[in-house]
Amino acid sequence: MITGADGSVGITFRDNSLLSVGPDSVLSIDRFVFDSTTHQGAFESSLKQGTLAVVSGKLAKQSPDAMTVKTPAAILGVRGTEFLVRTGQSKD
Amino acid sequence: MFAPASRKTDVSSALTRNLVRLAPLGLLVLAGCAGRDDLYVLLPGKAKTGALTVTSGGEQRVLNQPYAAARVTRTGSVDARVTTEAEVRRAFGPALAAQPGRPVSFYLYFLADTDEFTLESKQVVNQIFAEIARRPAPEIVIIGHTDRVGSVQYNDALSLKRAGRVREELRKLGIPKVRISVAGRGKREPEISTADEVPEPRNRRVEINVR
Repeated sequence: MITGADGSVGITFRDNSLLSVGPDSVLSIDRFVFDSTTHQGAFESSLKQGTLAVVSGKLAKQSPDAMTVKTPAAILGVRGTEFLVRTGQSKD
Repeated sequence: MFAPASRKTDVSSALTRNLVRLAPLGLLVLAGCAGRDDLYVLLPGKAKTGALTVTSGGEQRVLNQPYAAARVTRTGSVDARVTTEAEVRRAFGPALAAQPGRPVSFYLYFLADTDEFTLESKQVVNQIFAEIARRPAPEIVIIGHTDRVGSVQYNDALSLKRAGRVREELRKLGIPKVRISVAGRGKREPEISTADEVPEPRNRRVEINVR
């Protein structure tokens, strides 16, 4: 997903995870697997640039290791609920 | 007399060629070293604040308080700090504004071992329709649940049957055109915790998740 200078987008996933990205952002959904009976699965995404807001859903609630967000500098392990990610090179 | 000059040209053009070939590598190295402007923030959750584990290079930090933040200025350097709601609005305003509406759940209850609704449940249907009308791109997930009487397998099947029954009812009631899917959670997610094999009417329910 790539947004322009005045773009943004919000997505609701099958496990009720909510992801939204701000302008000038590049987000890739690398893996999404969700079993609606057991709530087992995996959710891996990478923010290459820009801003991302996340409300985690049933996957992260079921198993603490199910959801990760990668940036070029770090990997974020999600133990539930709401967080924000900004990544990019510093301007100086 | 011309020979040395031409040899010089050869050397310099070979150098230029090599520099041109090496230039992309140099850029890559520079990009790898360039400082980063990364910020990761844990927000207060609606029900509870969870935790976020930040791992960069060999460094790891756990954010577990509202507005706890990590700044990464290069790989392997994670600075813990606390941010504020105002700062978050400035840095993440458009992303937060783009968040989809929170999913909302409604519950219908069933008579024991059947897919028959209780009477009160029929009134919930109007609320569901109102919620659907409120959303720009509505979708419904109908999730069946059971009490803890019987095997996992039996309850998986029963919960799915209940969900299917509700889907038919909603269709008959003229639900607006939205995508509907069904799921059966069996006895995994009781509303009221009980020991196994305990009948509990409040656990015999179907959740209608509108999102």
